[in-house]
Parts: sequence; structure tokens; C-alpha cells
Amino acid sequence: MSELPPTPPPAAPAAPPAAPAAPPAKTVDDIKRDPIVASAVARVNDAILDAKEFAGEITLFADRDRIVEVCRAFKDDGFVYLVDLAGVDYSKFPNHSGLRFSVAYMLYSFQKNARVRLRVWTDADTPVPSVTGVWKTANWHERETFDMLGIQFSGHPNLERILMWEGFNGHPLRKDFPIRGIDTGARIYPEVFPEGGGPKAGSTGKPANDVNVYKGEWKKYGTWPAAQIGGAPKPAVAAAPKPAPKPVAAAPAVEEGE
Amino acid sequence: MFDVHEMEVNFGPQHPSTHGVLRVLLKIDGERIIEAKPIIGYLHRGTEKLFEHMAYPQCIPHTDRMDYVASATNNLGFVEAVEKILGVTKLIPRRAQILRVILSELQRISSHLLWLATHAIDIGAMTPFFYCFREREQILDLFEAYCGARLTLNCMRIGGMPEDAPHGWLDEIEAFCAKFDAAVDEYESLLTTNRIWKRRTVGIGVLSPEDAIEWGITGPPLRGSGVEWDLRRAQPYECYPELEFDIPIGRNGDTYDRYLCRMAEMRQSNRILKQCIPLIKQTTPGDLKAKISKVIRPPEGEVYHSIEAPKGELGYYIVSDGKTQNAYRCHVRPPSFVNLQALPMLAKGHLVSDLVALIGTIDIVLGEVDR
Amino acid sequence: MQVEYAKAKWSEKFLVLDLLEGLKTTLRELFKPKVTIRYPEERMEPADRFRGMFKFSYDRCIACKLCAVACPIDIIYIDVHDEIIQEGEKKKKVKVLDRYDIDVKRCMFCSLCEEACPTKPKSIWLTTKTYELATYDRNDLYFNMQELEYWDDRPKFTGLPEDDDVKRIKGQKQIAGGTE
Repeated sequence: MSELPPTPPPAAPAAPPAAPAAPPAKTVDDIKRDPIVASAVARVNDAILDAKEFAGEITLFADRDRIVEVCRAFKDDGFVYLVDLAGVDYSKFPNHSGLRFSVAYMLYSFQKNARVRLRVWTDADTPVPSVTGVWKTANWHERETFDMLGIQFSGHPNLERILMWEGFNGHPLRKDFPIRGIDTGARIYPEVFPEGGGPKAGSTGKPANDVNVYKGEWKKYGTWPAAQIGGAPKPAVAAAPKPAPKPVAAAPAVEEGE
Repeated sequence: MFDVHEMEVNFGPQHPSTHGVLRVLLKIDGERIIEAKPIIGYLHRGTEKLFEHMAYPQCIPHTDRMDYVASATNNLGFVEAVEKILGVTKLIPRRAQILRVILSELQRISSHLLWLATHAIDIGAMTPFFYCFREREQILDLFEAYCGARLTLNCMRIGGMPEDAPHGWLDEIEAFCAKFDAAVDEYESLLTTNRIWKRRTVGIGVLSPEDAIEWGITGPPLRGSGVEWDLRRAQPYECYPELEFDIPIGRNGDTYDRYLCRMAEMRQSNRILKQCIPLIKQTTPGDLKAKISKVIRPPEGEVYHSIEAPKGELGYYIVSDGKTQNAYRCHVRPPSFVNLQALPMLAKGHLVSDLVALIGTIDIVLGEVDR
Repeated sequence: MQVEYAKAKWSEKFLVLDLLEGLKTTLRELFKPKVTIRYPEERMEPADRFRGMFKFSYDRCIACKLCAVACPIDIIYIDVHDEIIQEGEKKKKVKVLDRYDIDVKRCMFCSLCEEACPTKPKSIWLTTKTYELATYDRNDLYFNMQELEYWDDRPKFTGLPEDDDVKRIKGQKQIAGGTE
């Protein structure tokens, strides 16, 4: 082979070739002036406290006490369709210092074929004014947000639990609600679950004992009473002979095959 | 002249016509319904809480189980929402996009077939049940050949598809499409001009377009009321912009119109499938995954993405905290949950047997309503 | 696209032709071949990619635990310890698999574990085409390493037709042939 072409001199750190410059970050006012939301924002400008844009979607943060007025302004402007109403618990969010909960309203306008999101901040004790007067569909969404997160909505015609049963003590989607459920009582299988642990959860609100049913920890309390399920009670599960016993001595013959 | 003797009756959670565990508390006067109050939550499994504890790719099998009748579209909605928050929507290879559309449309046909079967049998027509399930078996066999499962498919991944179409699969779809129009004609011959069917469905549950928008109804109930809106046209995703299909709309907003809309939608889905097969044959086989990292850790932010599921607009609101591999909050906007809100308004003044027709025409799946 | 409303003619209404059309369809179906399969004497043969019961291969497994991490329900329990073996002159550190248990009663057969497995061919895979997993006792569904590998040797239920008598029907036949 002929000699290699001369190595180029060490290049000075050159500007990246034709890389598009990152667009300057939009300010809150820029987003408020976006044609999708401009006319709606113009009616209630002082109630919109903040704005963000991410992944092509506009989020406007509104004042909690004036949310009904803001929603009505948006509805009159063409956002006739409330797509979704979701609550989020920010207590475990890194670097979050504001109020604990946020309620997000997803709106859609048929004429503009555009979506916008409104958000309000609240905490566990302060109710958010209900928007069922503006869009009837908010009824069940707000009930679900109340049920799952405990956010109160004032002025709602019928604020009661919808997915959990009435009398349930707790709000499941809060970050301090344990994923394995809360107790109540080992009334079904007392010989398997200790007091405080068990599948029937909710009424007393006490935390369950540390029985992680999903990881098979129920086994330390004994096996399911076979007589109740069907079939003769089986003897304790015999340890099956393992191919690679623990002591190092006999191992190499098997591992070498890897 | 006569007293109104109101009776409160439980149209209980265990009932063959409620399509799952739906309880409707009825106040009736004889057979007329004065008030119907749906009570849900019997199938609540805490899916949204589970999403917060699992990495994004692990959530996909759980999304299958929400609307268990149409699981490919559930997968698609979630996967697209995560891709939107990652910003990689444009990087999905074309073959993967067309394959996603093929699976979604097959799923749409299969969901509508199940709807027709159960709706007809609730009203009393037992024959369409068998015919619809015969066609549905063929679709489920196609799904099984592709991803290995018939009902809870788990067939989409973030960034593309898990595997390529097996050999001969596309020809089998073509054979199915060629025969499917005749099958829809067969169902229509049993029901569409049938006077008994018309008496049971015309004029029942009239939903005006203003009410539909007010109550947030989407999908075939909205289109049956005359509002021409379909997310595949309004905010297209995947490769829908290049496909030709019509959006059937009704005029009166009653049960018969919703029935006609869904039958027409089955034919349109068939039309879409016939267009997709030659398109996918032109792409290079094997090119199915976008070049994204295996560990999905989206930046901090929130996104709402929705698609047109067979039952309406299925949306996912994902809040990501930028640090962990789990979603910080993943809220699902189920179409059946929102459509079911209209039941009390629709059922007022009708008979109890019309309530059965109404539950069927709104097309709910309790797995989605309760999550 | 407006849906079409079929206009019924007076003659059709009088002669009950709409109901007769439905009866004509069902009469035609009466003479077509039936599509039902008589289980358990005839069984459907699942597709090649069917997600059935697991099979595990101890020899191929490198004890990387990726399958346990990928499982959405955390039902794969793996215990591993390191050992140093002498290979000629070099000392090599290998991982020894002590325990590889799968709690199949909670499994949803999503095959994310199979996708995560990095060995080629895979050490845990799901396409054994078996979907008949019912047992009389819950504990039988907690499979440890042996049982996963030598699963074909498990005791079978009595009373079902012998394997030779079972007619396996290929699912794919239903698709192209249909009911015509």
C-alpha cells in the first residue's frame, strides 16, 4: 500500500458544521402570545401566572381561585372540549418547592385543531373550584382526582369516591400510600397472614405489616390450607437436588462447560 | 292520575349484559327508567400506581390489560406518548410505522367485531355472535403468528417493534382482507334492514352533537351524532397521512346510527389494511427499531398524547422527572370512562331493555373504565 | 362520509323480506363446514412465536440477572455467588447460579425476560407451545431451576386423551381457508 495521506494538522476546535443553533428559550410572554392561546389569554391575562412549552405543547399555569373564569374564557375562545383532568402529587418530585398537588386540564379546540394545557397548584386542604359548570364532562374526572389524590373540589354536585369503595380510608395515588396496599385485617386467612397484613385492604388505614406477597414472603407464614382449596394437604416442598451444590469442591466440572 | 311508584333496582355488577363489572343503580317506574346511576370501580387494579413503580418498557404489558379487547391500540398510545416525551417520533423507521398501523387496524376490526357480537346478543340477536367470533378467530390467529399472544399482545416497543412479520404473514392478511367485506355484508344482511333490529335501536339514546362535545364523548358515539372528527385525520400519527379512508358519520345520533358507523368503520379499516400491505412490502425488512438507548430516561417534562382507539380517544398524560427510569405520573384518559358519563342522560325515559342496548352502543370495556 | 340508510320499500315490508333475508343467511351457514374444534381430542397447534411455558437452559445462562430486572412483576428470583476457578494457569472469576426460580402463577407471559436475555441462543425462552399449565395445587406453579429445565418430565394429569390420540390442528389453516 502506498503511504498514508499526511495526517491533517491538529485542527483547532472548529465550529460544528452547519449545526442549527438551539432556538432561544421562549419567555413566558412569548408563549402567551402564541396564536393558539393568544386570544384566550388576552381575556384573563392576570390570572395566567406562568407558561411553559415542551414537546410542542403549551402549558399555562393559572391562579387557582380564578380557574373557573379562565376555563370559561378558554371555552368561549373555542376550546370547547375538555379532554382530560388529571391530578399529580409532587411531593417526591426532585427540586420541587411549591404546593403539593397540581391539577392539569387538557383542552382541545376543534376550530384551531390545537391543544393546550392549564394547570393549577393546590395543597391537600384547599379546594379547587370545580369546572363542572363549564364542561359537564369534568364531573367524573374530578371525582376520580378526589378519590385517588384527595384534592377537594368546591362546587362539585356530587363529590364522592368513584373507583374505590365508600368508606375507604386513604388516597391511593398519593406518594406516601404504599404500593402493596394498606390493611385491614387478616380476616380471611388468619393462619397465613398476621394481624395487620392481608389482601382485604382499606378500612382501618393502618399500614400493612411487611409481608410482600408479590415476592413470595407469605411462605414464611405457612402454606395455604390445602383443605380449603382442594386436594390432600401436600408435604413440605422437598428440596430438589441442585445441579451445582454450594461448596466449591464439586463445582468446576459443571462450570467448565460454560 | 296514577302515583309514581319508584323502585330502586340494582342492575348489578354481575350481569351478562354489562360487559364487565358495571353496576347501574336504577330508579324505575314500572319499566321506565327515571334515573340511572352507574357505579364503577369493581375492576380497579391500580394501574396508574403501578406505572409509577416500573420502568417504561415494563409498563407496556400493563397497558394491554386496560382495554383488554383492543390491546394493540393501548400499547400504541403509550409507546407514542413516551416517544413524544423523548422527542424521537420522527426517528421511527417506516416499516415499523406501517406495521403499527396494520396491527392497530386489525385490532380495530377485532374490537368492533366483539362489539357487534355482544351488542347484538344483548339485544337478542344471537346469530351475529357466532359469525363475528369466527372472523375474530382469524384475526387472533394473525396476532398469534406475529407476537405470540392472542389477547394481551404486548406487541410494541418504545422506538419501534420487537420483531418483524413472520414469513407469509402479509399474504395471510391479504387473504383475510379479501374475504372480510363479504363477511361484513353477511352481518348487515342479518341486522341492518331487519325490522326487529330497527325497532330496538332507532330513536334509542339520541345524543345531540352539542351534548356529545359537552360530555366529552369521542369515537363512534361522537361520529354517530354527526361530528366528523377522527384523530387519525385531525392529528395524524404514524403513517396515516398517506392512507386514504373515509370517516363515517351519522345523522340522528341514535343507536342505529352508531351501529351503522361502526359497521362502516370496519369496512374502512379493511380498506386501510389493503393499502398498507403493498406499502410495507416496499420497505426493507428488518429495519424496525429506532436508534435510541436501551435505557429509557426521558428529560423532565410532561406530555399528553392521544390516539384513536376503537372506542374513542385514548390519551396518556405522562409526567417525567428526568432522573428515574419510571414515569413520575402516568395518567390514562380512557374513552370508555368518559363515554360512560353520558349514560344517565341517555337512559332517562327509556325502558330497562333499552338500557341494555345503550350500554352496548356506548361500547365500554370495564378494564378501561376502572383501570 | 355519511352512512347510508337503506330505504325499505312497501313491498319488502309487507312480504317480510327483511327477516327472510336474515333467514337466508343462516340457512346458507347451516351447510357450511363448522369451525369449532373439539377440545381435548383435537387441539390447536399454536404458532411458532407463541408465548407458552418457559424453558430454561442452565448451560447457556450467564447469571447476568437481566431477565429479573426486566420482569414487570419481579417473579424471577435469582441467587448468584462468585467463584474463582482455575483454568489452566489463569484464575477466572465466574458466577455460579444458585437459584433460578420463577413464580409462574403470577406470570403474564409477556416475554420481556426473553427479550432481555443477552445470550444467543437465549437461556430463558417462552415458545414451548404449551398452554396447558393448570394444576390442582398452587405450590406446583412455583418452578425452580430443575423443573424449568426438565419440564417435559413433569407428571401429567390422568384422564386426558393420550398424546397420540390428539389431533393437532394447525391454526393457520383457518386463515386462508376460512369457511368457504
